[in-house]
Amino acid sequence: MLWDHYIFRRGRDVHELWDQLFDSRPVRILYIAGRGFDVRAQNVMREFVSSVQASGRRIEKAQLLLIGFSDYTLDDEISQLTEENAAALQSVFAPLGGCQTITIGGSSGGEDDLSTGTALKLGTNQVLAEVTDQTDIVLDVSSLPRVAYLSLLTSLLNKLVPNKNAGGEISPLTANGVNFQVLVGEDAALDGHIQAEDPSNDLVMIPGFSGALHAESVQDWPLVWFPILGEDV
Amino acid sequence: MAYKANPFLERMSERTTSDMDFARLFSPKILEKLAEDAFEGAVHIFRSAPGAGKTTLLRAFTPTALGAFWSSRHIPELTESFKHLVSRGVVDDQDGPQMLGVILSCASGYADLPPGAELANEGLFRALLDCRVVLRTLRSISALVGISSTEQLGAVCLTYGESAADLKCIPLHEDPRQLVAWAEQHEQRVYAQLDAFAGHQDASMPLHVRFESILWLQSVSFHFKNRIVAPRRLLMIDDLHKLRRKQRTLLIDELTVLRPTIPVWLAERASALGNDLLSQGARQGRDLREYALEDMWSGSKGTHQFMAFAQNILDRRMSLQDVVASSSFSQCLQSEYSPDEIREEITRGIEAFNTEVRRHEGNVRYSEWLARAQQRVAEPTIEALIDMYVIRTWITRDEAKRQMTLDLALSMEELEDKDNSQVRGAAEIFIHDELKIPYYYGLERLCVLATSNIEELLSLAAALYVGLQAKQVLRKPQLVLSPSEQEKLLVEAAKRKREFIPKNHTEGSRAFRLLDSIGGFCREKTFQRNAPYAPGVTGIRLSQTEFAKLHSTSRALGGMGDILTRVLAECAADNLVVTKQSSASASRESGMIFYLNRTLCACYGLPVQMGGWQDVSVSELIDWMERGFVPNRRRKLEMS
Repeated sequence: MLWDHYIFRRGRDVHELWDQLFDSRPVRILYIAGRGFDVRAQNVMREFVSSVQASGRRIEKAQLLLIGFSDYTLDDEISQLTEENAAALQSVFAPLGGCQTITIGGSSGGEDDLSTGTALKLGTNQVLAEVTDQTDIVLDVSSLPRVAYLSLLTSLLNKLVPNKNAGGEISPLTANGVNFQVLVGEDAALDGHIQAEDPSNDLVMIPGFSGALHAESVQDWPLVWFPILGEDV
Repeated sequence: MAYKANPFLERMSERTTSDMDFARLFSPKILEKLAEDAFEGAVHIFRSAPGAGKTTLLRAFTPTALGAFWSSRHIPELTESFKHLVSRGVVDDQDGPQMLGVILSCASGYADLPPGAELANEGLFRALLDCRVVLRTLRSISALVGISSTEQLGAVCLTYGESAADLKCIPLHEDPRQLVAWAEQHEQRVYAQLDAFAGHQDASMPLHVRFESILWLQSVSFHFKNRIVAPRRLLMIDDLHKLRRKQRTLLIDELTVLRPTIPVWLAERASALGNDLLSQGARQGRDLREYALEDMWSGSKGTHQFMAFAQNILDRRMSLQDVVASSSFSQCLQSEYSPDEIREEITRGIEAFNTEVRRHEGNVRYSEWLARAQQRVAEPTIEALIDMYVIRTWITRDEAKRQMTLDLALSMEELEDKDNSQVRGAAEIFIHDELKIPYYYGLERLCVLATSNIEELLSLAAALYVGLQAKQVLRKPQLVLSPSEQEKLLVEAAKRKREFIPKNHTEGSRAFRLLDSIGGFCREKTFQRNAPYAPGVTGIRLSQTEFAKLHSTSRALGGMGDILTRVLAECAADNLVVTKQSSASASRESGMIFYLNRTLCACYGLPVQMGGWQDVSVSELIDWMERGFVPNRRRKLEMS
């Protein structure tokens, strides 16, 4: 399978990977992160920025894309923490480049009760529009909701590798020379203590997969769910 | 099956329940309450809080459920349902189901269609619904005639009436297999576009200019083995609240304009109305009829009918289990206290009464009443204690209003002449509050606590059943729950419901504070010594003047008026408060009463009767919603 060929690093090995990855070549970075309240995203970005800033790197341009969400109901304390975190993320990234915020949710076409799927799709499209001539795209999922980062992940992969079955001498994984990294500051024990208090129990489909579950022609088919049984799997 | 471990946890609307089980669990009482005109050609909207039984009602008219009713018509427990279906012409005694019920859910991705009022987006919505109606209809006819695959559908022939000539988008194939292929391709084209990453709308997307499938469904005839099957039709569209507001309005408006000759049932949660829930009455017209499911059970007659409905449901569930050797749920709930259970509390109550009335010893005015109380002491029962509390209440009231009157003895006749039913109700809740003698027990109160909602009824019954299961495990000799045991389980369930409020609403914390405040306010008014609003206050009222402030254009309340409206509307949509119009009288203007959900009343220790309410202002409610209610006594202490 195409996606068997991925590179996975954790801990100190990540720095080693970055040292090799950014060495002696021009780098144009698009760093995508959540504009959330999880301060762990700062640590991830700090490590990344310090590695990229190390001597010998040629940063031609870098842009931070913060993904915000307008339809969450947050306590005042959490809202404040979100603002502080966003400011801190901008500040950490500032030595490399500027910041732009994309907000998922809100309204479109005069309608303010968009479905989660539509909001995700519109937001994802905005993110994809920012993918231009970068050499490196980084998706930091540390403070992004699961459905949001999975949507971004699949859409970015689809943009970078439009035809994963393409034949020929060059593997589709070269993705026209763009490196795509997914970063996460993970702490399974801590994550396990975070409890979602979502008033909605509706399923949210990752854009691209709704037909398989919603189509009337498959409604009478048996549906088998495979729940994720653990965080650190 | 795991669910059968507690038959009250099973939800009939779920697909996991087999059609046979569904038919056995389905209570025909709801069919009695269904409006006579519900099967007439028009758009009928069924609206309620979640759990009131909309989807269950709709499922009863699907071909497989009707088949189950018909094939089991000789089973005694299904006879009543079958008779109702025959009387409505849905099923024929000899020929089986006559009505083709086609059910669709709006939860299937319509809200993910592109937003905006462009003709293309609306056309796509219509196209998707149309092809799904066609597909579901053909699957339903398969189920009705006992065909299991699309290939076998060739045995069914389609013919069309004259009105079908107007159809522009749906092809008039005689072979249903061709129509299935058309509908599936149509749907796939829509989803290919929707699932495309970062795609723009394709010019070749199917777009319909009206909801043509309704016209198709009313003009098509199904022939199978040389006879016409299912001559009657019923289109049921569930979960309308899952649509975006514009989609929902478009669907209702355009279906109504089509003036369907078949019944089109639309079901939605009351939350679909948003803030309009607080202002909109049911719309009635020749082509659009609205029914609030909870209203079916309102009024004194409705309350009794809900009781019968609820008992029927509970007994049907009981018959599904074999842990408790009883087919009647009420038999498992002890309806009276055993003498030993509350002896101590009654003794304590009598002592407290004696202490309190000691100051009236020698007072000729109350001598007869107190003599009657002393007679009752000899027989320490709950009835005697209630009598004493009634006397205590009347003495307190008399003391409060006494001015310069002669101390003539008040006779027993005067006490008996007073309308004591309300005061007795107050005495019961006072006894519960002061002596902790159980109040929330017995089948009748269980049904009242459910607040006309089946899901709530089943949740409460499930909690009681857990208690029965525990007794079974411990091998208790009697599998019957005492009043104390019932109350403990019901109040625990009520507390769980209350604690879930902040997680279940967009303004959850505010709704929680507001409801808790209303509960606290009602307690303060209810437990005044003279029980002025016997049996108690369980609701608040906003007069028209106060209501107008919420909709005032002067914005005197800032954004808080909008938030309060939203919180109240959400609470009403979720049955956390029950709204009732109060008409004007000589001394007051009209308004709207917000009664607390009865299960929440159990949380706050309030009576279950739906009677007493108190006027409040919008600013009070905003204050409660933001900061919570401060009881009067505490307020005075803070001020001093």
